Amino acid sequence: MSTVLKVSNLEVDFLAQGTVVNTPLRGIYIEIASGQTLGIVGETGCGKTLTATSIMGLLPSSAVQRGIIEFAEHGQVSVADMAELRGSEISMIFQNPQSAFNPIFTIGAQLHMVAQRRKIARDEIDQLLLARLHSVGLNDATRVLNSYPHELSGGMLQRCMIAMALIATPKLLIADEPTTALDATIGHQVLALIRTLQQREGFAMLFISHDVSAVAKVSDVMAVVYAGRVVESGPTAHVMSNPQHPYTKGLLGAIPNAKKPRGQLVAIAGNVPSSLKDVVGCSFADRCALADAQCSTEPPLVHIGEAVVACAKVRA
Amino acid sequence: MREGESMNKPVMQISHVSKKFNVRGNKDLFTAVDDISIELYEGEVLGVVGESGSGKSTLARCAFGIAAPTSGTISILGQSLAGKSRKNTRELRSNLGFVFQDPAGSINPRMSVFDAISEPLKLRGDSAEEINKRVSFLIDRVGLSANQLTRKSHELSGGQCQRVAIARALATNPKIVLLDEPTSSLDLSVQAQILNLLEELRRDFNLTYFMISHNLDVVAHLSDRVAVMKDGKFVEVGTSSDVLTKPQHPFTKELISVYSQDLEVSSNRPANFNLDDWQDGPLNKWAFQNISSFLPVQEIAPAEKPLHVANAALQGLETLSIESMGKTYSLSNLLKETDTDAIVVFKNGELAYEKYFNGMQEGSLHLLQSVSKSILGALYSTMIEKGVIDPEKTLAHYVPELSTSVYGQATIAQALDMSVALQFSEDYTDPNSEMARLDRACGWRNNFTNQDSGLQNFLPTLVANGEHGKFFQYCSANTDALAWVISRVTGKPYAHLIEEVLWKPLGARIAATVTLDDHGLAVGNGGISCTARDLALFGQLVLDQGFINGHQVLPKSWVEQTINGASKDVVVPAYLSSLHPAGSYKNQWWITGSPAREIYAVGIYGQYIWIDPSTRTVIVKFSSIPIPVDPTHSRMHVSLFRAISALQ
Amino acid sequence: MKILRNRLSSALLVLFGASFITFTLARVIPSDPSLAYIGPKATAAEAAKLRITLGLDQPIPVQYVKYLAQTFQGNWGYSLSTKQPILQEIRDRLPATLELIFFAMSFALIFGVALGVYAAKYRGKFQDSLIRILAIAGVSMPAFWLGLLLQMLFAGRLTWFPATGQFDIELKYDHPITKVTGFPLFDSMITGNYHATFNGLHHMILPALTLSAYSFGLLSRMARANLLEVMSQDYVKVARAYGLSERLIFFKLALRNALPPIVTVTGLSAAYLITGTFFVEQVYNWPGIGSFAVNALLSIDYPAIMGITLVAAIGYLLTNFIVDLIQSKIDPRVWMK
Repeated sequence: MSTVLKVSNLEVDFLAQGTVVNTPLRGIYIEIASGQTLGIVGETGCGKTLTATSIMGLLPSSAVQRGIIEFAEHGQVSVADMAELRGSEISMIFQNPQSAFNPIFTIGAQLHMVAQRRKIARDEIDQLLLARLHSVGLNDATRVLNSYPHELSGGMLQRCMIAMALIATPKLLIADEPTTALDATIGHQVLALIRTLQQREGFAMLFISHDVSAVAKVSDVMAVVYAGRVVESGPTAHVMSNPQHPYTKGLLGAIPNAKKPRGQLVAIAGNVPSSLKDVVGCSFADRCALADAQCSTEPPLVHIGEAVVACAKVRA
Repeated sequence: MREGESMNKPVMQISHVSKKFNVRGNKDLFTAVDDISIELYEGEVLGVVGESGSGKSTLARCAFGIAAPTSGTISILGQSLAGKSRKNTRELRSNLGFVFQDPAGSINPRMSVFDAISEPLKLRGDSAEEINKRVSFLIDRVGLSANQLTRKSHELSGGQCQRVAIARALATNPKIVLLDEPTSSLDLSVQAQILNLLEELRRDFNLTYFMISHNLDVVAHLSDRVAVMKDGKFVEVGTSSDVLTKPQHPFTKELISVYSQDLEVSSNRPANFNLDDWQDGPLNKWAFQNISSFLPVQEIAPAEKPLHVANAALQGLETLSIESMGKTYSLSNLLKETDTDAIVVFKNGELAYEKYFNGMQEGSLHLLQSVSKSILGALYSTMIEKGVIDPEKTLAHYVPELSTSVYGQATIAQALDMSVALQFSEDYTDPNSEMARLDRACGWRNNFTNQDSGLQNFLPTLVANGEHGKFFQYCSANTDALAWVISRVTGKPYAHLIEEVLWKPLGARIAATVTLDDHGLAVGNGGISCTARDLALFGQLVLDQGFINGHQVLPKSWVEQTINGASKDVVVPAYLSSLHPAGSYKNQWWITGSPAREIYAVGIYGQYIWIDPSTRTVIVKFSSIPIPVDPTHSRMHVSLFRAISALQ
Repeated sequence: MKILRNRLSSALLVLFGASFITFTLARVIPSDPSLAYIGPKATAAEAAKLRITLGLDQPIPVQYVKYLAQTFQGNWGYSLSTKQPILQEIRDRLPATLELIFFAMSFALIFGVALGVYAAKYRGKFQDSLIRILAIAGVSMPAFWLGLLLQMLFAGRLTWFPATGQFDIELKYDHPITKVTGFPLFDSMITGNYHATFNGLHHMILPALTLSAYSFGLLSRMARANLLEVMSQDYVKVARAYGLSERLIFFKLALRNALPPIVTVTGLSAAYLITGTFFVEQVYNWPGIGSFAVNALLSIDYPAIMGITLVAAIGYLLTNFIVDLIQSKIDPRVWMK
């Protein structure tokens, strides 16, 4: 298994009039092998989507990114290189399928524009699109191609989105909350479809979600992000059954279900910090029951068993 | 208040409530809530789960007097809400509280926290002193601090906003609180805080919650009772644990599986898999068992009550030695030599032997290839008996699109007996043969050109090359054309026909599938996948002259006609006469013509149903031989089947 | 096309409404139309007699029904001031006004959208500010004032353009326009009278620019705002994520998404253009319906006012109907709303 994506110490600053106003990413380390799925889990404002945007090289001009992104056989790639890889070797699926398609073009027209980047003959594109739509379970592909986005359901649109993502046979698929806007049963079908397609085509996947159980279902490896940093990562089964970082533990304890006693979910006090400009030491310290003086310096990522954890209170 | 006493007292009664809406451009009213009745008992939490559009929000709006139901009544603490003015029901309404999904949106952005919480108290006419006292009490109970009272909603986090909303809902001391997706816009850790708070408040104030959510986890965690809603109706109502652990309704089962099961993903797909080579070895070892993971399929549902098959012992099977073309094999050697995936033997209608290889199990599906054709033959017998299809009519008589093709002249009977004379090479190895074109039309091979897309475009291009009814010419396209005809005549998808006519009456245990072409037509010539056991059941049906499971499923006369074989006047090619000197082909079945009067179904790469009426034996064998047709293998199979049939 | 039928019938309803309101207004304003017809020096007896002849003694609803019936038959009455049939007057003057509106609309659309797009592309830069100033000037400057300014500068001082009129006066003698459709510029073109065409275009530029200023300002702001909004939509992010070029995204996708509101505003500004002609034609002495309307208003020529109102209403409805049609071609969701 070869590494498709490796991100080391990715940091992002937001500037206004030349000064840094926020540092929403402060140390993202991830690595995905071909055919593998890495799940990034975290709460709103922790930097999940920003990580994806930054890997795609699509940050707004007011942002500055640092760190090393290595991609497949290209080695280290710059933001400019990313522009070439987008839509050819990297594809992305977005959260809300209803707004991800342009409302005034047919699905066919939009898929066509993406397919044209592959520089193949027109009638071959038609064949390719039909085949792609069939492969995502849309059996009346011809009708779908001729439909406008508002004529299709959210589930169907998300399937179209997946078909669009796979037109280019990418090496890496980034899925940013692909099921959040869908009903549970439809979302489940979409997840199963993505997984099946992944096994069929062997692409690597970066799966981003706030939903721990979705990440647990889909990913081989997971990374928990908090306040712009990876605080724990490792094989999914391992992290889920043996969480180390207090934040990971809290997150897993907060998932409601029938088996947990009512009214006794683990509730992490406080909120995710809104600005990360002046954070000193561990950013979780002010919500953490274990925090003490040791936590005033930023803890490094340390290997503990199969996982990597950034917490001064966790020892191997 | 004692537990038993409280649970017997309904605080809210919803009886036969329906809500209908006008939908633009549609004359019929849309029924959002369809005749729902339920009672809420004091102190309980009723969770209503459903997907968007299920009607759960509309039901809640009706129940809490926000919307008027089209019919039905709602009573709160024994008094009806309907038919009274707002003023008269104010007293009654003060027993109701509301917490909505979007905390920031449900609080007026220009109001301070204090104003927001005190608003319902002011409306009630409380004095300033009373209001101050009540607000500071509430603030404390929901976990906010007094210095937050002057803030406005945009200065608060989502969780804090929701705490304000809860405080406001509780201001008038309500008995029943509506929780409309109370946590769905919150992050997991904040959701946990709010859920804990809601439970604490319920306990302390003896509140009754009517909670609606699309999130089963949240509902399951907080609720005493769960109602599952779909299309305006409760499909299931029960205690949380009953609904979650013993779901009855298929929709509930599906919903629960979403939350508990792992993803069902077909695995082990070979890396070099491709649509041009999947039928050959070694790819077929995986592909034949995983058709639905790469081809579109339609499901053939099994029987509600599967037929019970008794077990029987068959002596001497393991020590069997089989002679074929001068060689002697042990059973296990021969099965290995012929790349067996599964073998099932029925003797006198009882399961005498079954063995699975190559990762297959009792419940695994396997592609039947041309054994599918013999299933079509059986299907036709019932249609012909009922007079729905006349075997002497041409195929084009039923499907006019075929009129310019060979099927404009050839009859149904001729197609069933494979005595249509047509320009068609059934060469499985030549990528340019008509067979390869047929595979492309079926979606079984890569089709990069627009030519031959779908059976409906390909079949009409076939032309005659001789006189029909004279020669046996095995041609897969005939069966596809027949499948098209039978779907057209009955107006039903092919899969549903098999389900109705065969699979259900037969008592099949596991859902089978049939592959579809690009336009949704079923691939009749070889697209069915099913379990070995269910297929053996089908063989048993033919053996028992169409009678099984207490029904005459197939006409007896048809079975006799089939076993008697084709007319001697039809010329048979050498490959058949060298294998079976008196062999012929009738009604999509192969006839050996031997004294034992065996008939069989066969598919390329080694798929079989072998039926020996003389010893009352049915044998089903699935294989994944690397090449489509091999005369040596064919002989080995015949020897194997005859050896097994001879055992008692 | 059931919806099309609905729109047409609602347009008819609006027309009835407009005719009813103008009719009622003309009757309730404190000025006796009969006096205007026979002049101030007539005796009371003469006036009473005329009132009977004109049917003014009948109840107002009856008068309205009669008026409607007459209008349908093509009898729009006589102008009180010119004593000519009103339909005749309008038919003679409408082409000149329509040509003026056509050119003004074209200027506004072409310059407005182009500069709006340009400003969006260079948001926050110097070009953007410059275009904003132009747009604000266009919207805020009254047409008669702008007309006078342009006249003084380009016709008076620089003498690049003629100051008034639709054609040079001599044209009537040396290159007379053969009447085909009644639209002078168009007729001169199809009859090969290019001298007249160029002369007409030369006369057209200043009044058309004056008339277009307001719509230009509106459209350029509209185009800029819409484009910027569209560029922030999810589907544009998606297009970027799929590696489509910025050119393709901006010109092929986003521009088309930004069009529907622009088209709507174009339709709405048609109303402004119609009233705008009142002033512009006055300033440039344009022989169109606008100057006729001003005269009619000043002399309380109520049959003429009613006729002009009716024409304006028809023009407005027609424009908006066309806008709807175009809208449905651009945005498939329009008929759904």
